[in-house]
Amino acid sequence: MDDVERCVEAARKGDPQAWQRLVDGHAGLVWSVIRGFRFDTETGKDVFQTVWLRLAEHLDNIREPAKIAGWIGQTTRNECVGLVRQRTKVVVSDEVADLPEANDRATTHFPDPGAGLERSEEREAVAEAFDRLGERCQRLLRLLILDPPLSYEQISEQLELPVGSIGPTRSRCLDTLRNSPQISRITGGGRPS
Amino acid sequence: MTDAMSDEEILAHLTDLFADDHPPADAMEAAYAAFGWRTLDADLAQLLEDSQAEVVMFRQGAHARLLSYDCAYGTIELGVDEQAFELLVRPGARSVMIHRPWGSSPATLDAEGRASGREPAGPIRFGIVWDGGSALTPWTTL
Repeated sequence: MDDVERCVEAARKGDPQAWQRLVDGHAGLVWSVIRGFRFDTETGKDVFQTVWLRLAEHLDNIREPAKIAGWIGQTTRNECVGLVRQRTKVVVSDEVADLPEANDRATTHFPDPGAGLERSEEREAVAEAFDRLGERCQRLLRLLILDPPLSYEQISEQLELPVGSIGPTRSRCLDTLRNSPQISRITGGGRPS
Repeated sequence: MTDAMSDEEILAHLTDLFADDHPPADAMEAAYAAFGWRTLDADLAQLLEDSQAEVVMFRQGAHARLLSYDCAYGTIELGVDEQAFELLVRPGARSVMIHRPWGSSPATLDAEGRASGREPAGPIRFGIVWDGGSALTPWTTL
């Protein structure tokens, strides 16, 4: 039995610390899926809360605790899709996303240089290129950098992509970024030397 | 002009860029608190359909989203829009409670098993009591 199975078993028996470990271990995944739908932060927080309430009420009915990440990811996506349908006036932006530390709406996905955060020219180029990347590549790359990391099997479940395709798709997505006008402008493009 | 970036360098930049993009602290607190809403032995209504189909059964016309549930005691049709709901319970129930993470309140149910109202955005679920038993709808986001 792996750690996540032990957490599910303990949470089923009422252990709040086990529940907290489940939340800590999967919060990044839930937030990443929600961010992919580009809700404003308040809406994102509503969905985030609903997902955990849903998990709490379904905890005893999840048949394969080892695959709980798949259940959580799918539940988050279903809730996001339903909300997009129901909130016809929801704030869905293709470039606005709040940062947790910001009280007002940020205007990009990333910290404003004016907020005192230093960014290199390279990092700005990566940020600009990422914003123009296809949705599937964005989702894959965001899952690849989650902390705690997901296994390829878990990523496969999230994206409905065969495990064997993840490596090649990762390479294609990174190549797209590397060869983007934003990054090529500062590096000259091409494969790394 | 610098050398082309390696895969590792690009991923390192992305990791740094998203390092601050964690769920807000109050969202994490709400997630931890969700455990307190665990309802053991509650009869959870099963979602039959989540659709956008036009619904004529509601007095307020079609809703943006229709959620249909089934349980041992009856069926529940829930039409939702932004911050508004309309519920149709069959057969007619004795009472309906509106549950929000911050508290619960009774809904006014008419003789035909209908209830409606406006509610703030956020997670919501309904508890329905029939003569024979009770059921909860799964949480959804209003």
